[in-house]
Amino acid sequence: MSVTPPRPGGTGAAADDLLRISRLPTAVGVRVDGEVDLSTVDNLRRALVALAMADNGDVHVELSGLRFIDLAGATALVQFAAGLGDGRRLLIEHPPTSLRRMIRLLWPKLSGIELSPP
Amino acid sequence: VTAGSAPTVAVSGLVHEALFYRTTEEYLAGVGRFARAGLEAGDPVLVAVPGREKIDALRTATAVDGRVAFADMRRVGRNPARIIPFVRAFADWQPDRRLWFVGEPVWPDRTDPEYQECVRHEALLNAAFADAAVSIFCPYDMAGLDQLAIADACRTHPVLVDTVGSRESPRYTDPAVLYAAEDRPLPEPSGDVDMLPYGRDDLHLIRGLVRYRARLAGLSEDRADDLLTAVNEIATNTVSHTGAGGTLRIWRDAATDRLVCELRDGGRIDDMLAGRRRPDPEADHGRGLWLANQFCDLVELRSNGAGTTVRLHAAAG
Repeated sequence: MSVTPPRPGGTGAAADDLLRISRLPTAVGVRVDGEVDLSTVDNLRRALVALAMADNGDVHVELSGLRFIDLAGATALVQFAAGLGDGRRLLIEHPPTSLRRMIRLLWPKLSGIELSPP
Repeated sequence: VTAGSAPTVAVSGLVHEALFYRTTEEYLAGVGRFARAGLEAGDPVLVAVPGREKIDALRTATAVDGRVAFADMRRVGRNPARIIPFVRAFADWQPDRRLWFVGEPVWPDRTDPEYQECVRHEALLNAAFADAAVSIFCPYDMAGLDQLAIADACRTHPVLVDTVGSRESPRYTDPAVLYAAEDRPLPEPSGDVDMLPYGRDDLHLIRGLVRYRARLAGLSEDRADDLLTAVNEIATNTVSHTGAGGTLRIWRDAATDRLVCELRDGGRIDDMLAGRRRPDPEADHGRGLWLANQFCDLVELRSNGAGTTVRLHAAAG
């Protein structure tokens, strides 16, 4: 008997298998688990927009469960941070090294975003 | 023009010369003369040559330490496609001055694929800085390099310099001809090649295969992530811009001990300098190839009417 492996990230609801976003219990922010790519980046954008509208103060994004993030995902985080204004910051906890490298290469003078040390 | 004369004639636009040298003395004299001409004009001088030894010898010989910027070409030019944006950033730093750049991208132990990218880089300098106030001086080691490298330098440099003097290159070739590279197709891989056709919903499958092969090849986690990010961006370009899918192939190249990921699609990239301009970070286009060039040890891009092939190399082990 052959077994067809699940195909997360496919069309429709399957994208939810690839990326899970949940509110942090103790701070304003979200925990992002899984993989951010072309098929899931809009979910990340929507979650960030909801946060910016709902709350004031710094926003936390916890990425210890993030297995992959592409350039569009990095851009979504940077643009979100730039749009916060009012001295609000985006605090990224446990960013993957590749995200750190993308941000350093493409946005070397960025402010309003802080990445926790490795 | 006689030997020993400094290239101090007032010029506008790009000057791109190859220096053919046989001995350390010829090397130091030729590069020193060029650097001093830039300094005497009050212009910035940037020297990127391979290895500490050459840098130290040039520092001593030119005796202008502190006024000339030095960089190790083995680092900044490891992937030759990073050199043009590197030079561009330096030129933009003092836009009202001519930049004098010594660039030695080719050295004897470059691998074959690296060497081919060096030739493309040298050709593309002529397109990238066609109207710029930049003087570029590229030393070629006649004693260490083979005849092909010398012949290629004659195709990529409008002007050739040696101990006898300087002259126009009779074999200088339009960079667009060299970019097309019809005469030098990418070699077919040998050994164990994995192949995976991909479409819009398959990016995570591609990443799974790259992760697996990266682990087999012994790449560190960071190196694997860099390669994964680059592959994903190129594949994202395929599905976003061609409206169709592509094919991924992965193999370990024994000759260079690198893991190679090849992405092929039906799109066409006519911009010869794609991936060699620092992108606007917010722009939708032009970022993927540039990032791949920063994240990979080598990137081979070939595009024509039949489609586009991008090969991304990461050093194994």
